[in-house]
Amino acid sequence: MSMPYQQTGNQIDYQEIKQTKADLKAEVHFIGQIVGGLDFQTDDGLFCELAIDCGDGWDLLQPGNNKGIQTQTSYANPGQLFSWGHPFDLHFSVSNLIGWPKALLKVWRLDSSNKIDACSYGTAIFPRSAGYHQVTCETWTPTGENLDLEIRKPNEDLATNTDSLSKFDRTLDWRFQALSFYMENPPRLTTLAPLTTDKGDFARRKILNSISNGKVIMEVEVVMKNFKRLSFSGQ
Amino acid sequence: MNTRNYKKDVSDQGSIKGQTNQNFGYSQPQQFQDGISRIQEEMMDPRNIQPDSMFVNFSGVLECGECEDEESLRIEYAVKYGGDDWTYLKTSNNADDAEPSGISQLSTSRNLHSRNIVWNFPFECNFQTKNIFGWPQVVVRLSGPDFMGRSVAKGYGSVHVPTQPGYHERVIRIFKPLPISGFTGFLGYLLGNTAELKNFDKVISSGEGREVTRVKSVGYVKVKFHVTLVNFDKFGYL
Repeated sequence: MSMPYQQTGNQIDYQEIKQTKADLKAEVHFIGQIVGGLDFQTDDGLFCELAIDCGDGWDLLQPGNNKGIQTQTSYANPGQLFSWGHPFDLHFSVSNLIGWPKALLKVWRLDSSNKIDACSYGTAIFPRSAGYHQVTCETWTPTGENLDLEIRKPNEDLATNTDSLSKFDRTLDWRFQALSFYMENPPRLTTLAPLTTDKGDFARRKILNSISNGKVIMEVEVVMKNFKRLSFSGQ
Repeated sequence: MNTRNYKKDVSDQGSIKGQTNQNFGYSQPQQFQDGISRIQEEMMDPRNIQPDSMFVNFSGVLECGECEDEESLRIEYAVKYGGDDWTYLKTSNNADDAEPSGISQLSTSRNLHSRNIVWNFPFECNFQTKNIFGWPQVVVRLSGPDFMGRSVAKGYGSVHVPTQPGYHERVIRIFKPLPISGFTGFLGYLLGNTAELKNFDKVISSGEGREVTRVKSVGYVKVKFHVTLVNFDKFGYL
């Protein structure tokens, strides 16, 4: 659809306008809030941290600094929502669709002695179609590593390995789990790389053992610009 | 021969009384006596004009809600939006229409079995903008009487205005800030100084500086929105 004329001040003056290349670039807005957490089964306070992971073709125009989000600490009765209610407004300029933005979530626990510790992790993908979406992200807590998988040769299949000693799963050892329980420090991830999909360390995710934890609920409105014009789906 | 000058043809039509010989420089201008030319009509057709801003008009109702065991509550709302690109279009010149906000009546639940409190509080706001960043949010504050009858804050919450046109229902989750310690909380309960947020609309809508606050969920509020968007397709959205 061409817009040949622009009204310039005076009602009867029209002039031809030229569109620049930037007017035809695809842009996406993610507007919403991290509503809260559900089913975490703890009496401590919980807060959530969100980091945005996107590809190289995605440029975060607004807000200027991408330092991530940290919500307030919320307490809840059993069965109640831990309400964080943290709004966010992200404006991306898209030159390459590869690397659609993901939210890397980390839920922290604040216990009664004012000490914080990692509670669980999760990855949520921002919706790919315009409109209102409710995104629910189930989170998991790592319980240990199965380092025997490292020793195995890269091409060797799990089923073909018949060595009984290498099947021993070190992390399900009762000593390790008892120590984590009484010291109240479950294992933590050293990097968020296992949560993303395309950085190099994601392949190491297979050595993790984890236990399920609660879910994080986000509401997102997606507004897209020029997607239809560039024949991208979703708008 | 019939190879007459085209201009001459036009000037030949000037024999109609009162009409001057105007040459628009285009071939075949259809000039009517008291009308506009096709080119002028094309230039004034709104489908051919690029507007210079988009408009967001929404109205809605803060319908009802619940908050822990409260019986009587009042709801206050403020609409927060990104400062620079967005302009709030006032509908009147009153002093209280400078920023979109409002305070409702104090309403009570119907009986002991239900904690549902109905306000049915309508609002309408109109914005002019050039950018989607800073999309408006509705920030609410619930307040009501404490055991001595003083008005204290009972909870806060926020929700973004829907970005798609039409009718939408949303649920705002309400939370209440916790006091620093048990003693502060007890003293606050007696004196009516419970933990509250100063400038609640700025704190809740931006999310900055909330890392060290502690809150507890206390309830919800149901909102209904009706949204109309103007010029969004001309800017490439929608």
